[in-house]
Amino acid sequence: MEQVQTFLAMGGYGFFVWPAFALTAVILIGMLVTTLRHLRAVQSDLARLQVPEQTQAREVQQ
Amino acid sequence: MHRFANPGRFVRLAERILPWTGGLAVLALGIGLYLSLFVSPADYQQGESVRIMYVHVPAAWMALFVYTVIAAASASALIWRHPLADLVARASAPVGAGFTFLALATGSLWGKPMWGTWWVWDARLTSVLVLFFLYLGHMALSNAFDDQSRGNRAAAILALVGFINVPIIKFSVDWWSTLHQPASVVRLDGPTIHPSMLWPLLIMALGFKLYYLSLMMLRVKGEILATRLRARSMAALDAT
Repeated sequence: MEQVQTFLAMGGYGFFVWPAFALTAVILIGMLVTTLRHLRAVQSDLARLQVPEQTQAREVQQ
Repeated sequence: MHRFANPGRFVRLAERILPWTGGLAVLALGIGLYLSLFVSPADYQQGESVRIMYVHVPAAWMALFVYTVIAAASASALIWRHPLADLVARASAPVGAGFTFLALATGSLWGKPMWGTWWVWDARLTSVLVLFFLYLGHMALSNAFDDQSRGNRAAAILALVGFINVPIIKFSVDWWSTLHQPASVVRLDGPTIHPSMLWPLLIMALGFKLYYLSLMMLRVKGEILATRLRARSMAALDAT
C-alpha cells in the first residue's frame, strides 16, 4: 500500500506527471473513437444509399 | 506511388496492413508505458518529473512529422495531382493538431515544476504554437469551400508556405536563447541522453508513429468512402 502511494506521489511531482499521461491517453483514444465513429456513419450511409439504387436499377430494367 | 493511386486498391491494402500496425502500436505503447513509468530511472536533477518526457517528446516529434507528411502530400497533390495526396493531407491535419496540442499541454505541465512557469514566449514555445495555428488554419481552409477540391488546393498552398516553420522549430533552441533544453536525441554527434531513458523514449516514439500510421489509414479510408458517398448521393439526386 505504501509502495503504491510512493509511486502515485512521483517524488512530489504527481500533480504534473499524472495529468500529462492522462491527457495523452484521452487525446489518443479520443481521436481514434471519433475516426471510427465517422467511418461507421459514412459506411452505414453508403449502405442505405446502395439498397434503393439497386431496386431502382431493377425497376428500370423491367 | 501511382500504383496506390487507385482508391479501391488503397482501401484493400489498408485493410490488410491495419491489423499489423494497430497491433504493433498497442504493443509498443504498452511496453513504452511500462518502461517509462516503472523501469526508467528518475533524473538526478529533475527527479520523477522527467517521466513527462516520455509523452511530451514523442508528441512533439509527431507534431513535426505529421506536418512534414502534409507538406509532402500537398506538394504531390499540387504538382502531380496524385488523387490520394489531398486525402492524406485532409486526414492528417486534425491528428497533427492533436499531437501539437498534446506537446504544448504536456510541455506546460513539465515547465511549471522545472522552470517555475506554465508558459514563456520564447522561440521554441512560440514557434510550436504557430504550428498549432497552421494546423487549425489548414483544417478550416480545406473545408471552407463548397467545392472540396478548391479547399484542398488552398490548404495545400498554406501547408507548403507554412513548412518554413518546421526547420525554425527544430533549430529554435540553437538559434535563440530559450528556457527549452537543446536537442539530446536527434543531434549530429549522437544522443547525449542515457540509454536507460533513451530506450523507453524510442519505444514510445515508435508507438506514437504506428498509432498515427494506423489512424491515418482509417481516416483516409473514411475520406475515400465520404467522397464515394457524395458522388452517389449526387447521382441519386440526378436520377430522381
